[in-house]
Amino acid sequence: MQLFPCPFCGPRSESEFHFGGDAGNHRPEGFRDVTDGVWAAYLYERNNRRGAASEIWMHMACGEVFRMERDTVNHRVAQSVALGKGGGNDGMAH
Amino acid sequence: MLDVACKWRPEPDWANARLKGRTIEVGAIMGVTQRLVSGDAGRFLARYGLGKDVGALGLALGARYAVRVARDRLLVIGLSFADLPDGWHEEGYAVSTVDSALRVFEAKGEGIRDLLARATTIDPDNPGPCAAMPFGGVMGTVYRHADAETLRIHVDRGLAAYLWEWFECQPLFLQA
Repeated sequence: MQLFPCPFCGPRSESEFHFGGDAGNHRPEGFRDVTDGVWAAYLYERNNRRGAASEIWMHMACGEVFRMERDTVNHRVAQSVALGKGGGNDGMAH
Repeated sequence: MLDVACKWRPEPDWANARLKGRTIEVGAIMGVTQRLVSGDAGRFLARYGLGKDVGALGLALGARYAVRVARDRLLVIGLSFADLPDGWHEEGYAVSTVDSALRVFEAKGEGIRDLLARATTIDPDNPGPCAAMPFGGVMGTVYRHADAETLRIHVDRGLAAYLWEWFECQPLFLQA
């Protein structure tokens, strides 16, 4: 079992978290100006980096949405920051 | 016609449902007043004099207390509608009555730590400030009440029958 750090709850089992995609993958603005290529890139293209990655995660227990920086090779977590506390936005149109 | 209802057992009679093991017993508690407070939790706690909110496996005392379930959300026990009306409050929080939404179980005995080990992945020595956690496979709110050997678990009412079956399958309750 791997522990992920929720910015509010602290270390919890990875099974309590839901992956929300790459950080910075913002929904394209506009309607007619968004081409099918731009929309497809937003929906399907992923960074899938080997090494340092910056991702959006949600802690399903408390509902905290946050940005986590982790290494996809050794699974070490560098930091997790709540989006409301300076972690950026989740790229969703709220 | 296919009778799908026969796939499930009827819900237990919660008023009398009890499971007893050698070191622990569990039952449902009826009539607990439950309110969900969302927003400025600090101002709410100060306004109603509830003191510090209870976190994961924290110890709640008395009939009125607040349990932290998210950064900006409390599950408040024991405050009636007359004390605290539903809806938006100008102090910066919203209140909802959730009496019917959550079933409350209480487990007592020295086997509490063994039950937690089977039901959760939480570190009992470093549980954290938030009492919301998976318990026996469903999301619940888990804390101690009155003493260190009494555990209260709030779960969605629709999942209570499943959790009861989960309790029934545990070796802790089979060793009567």
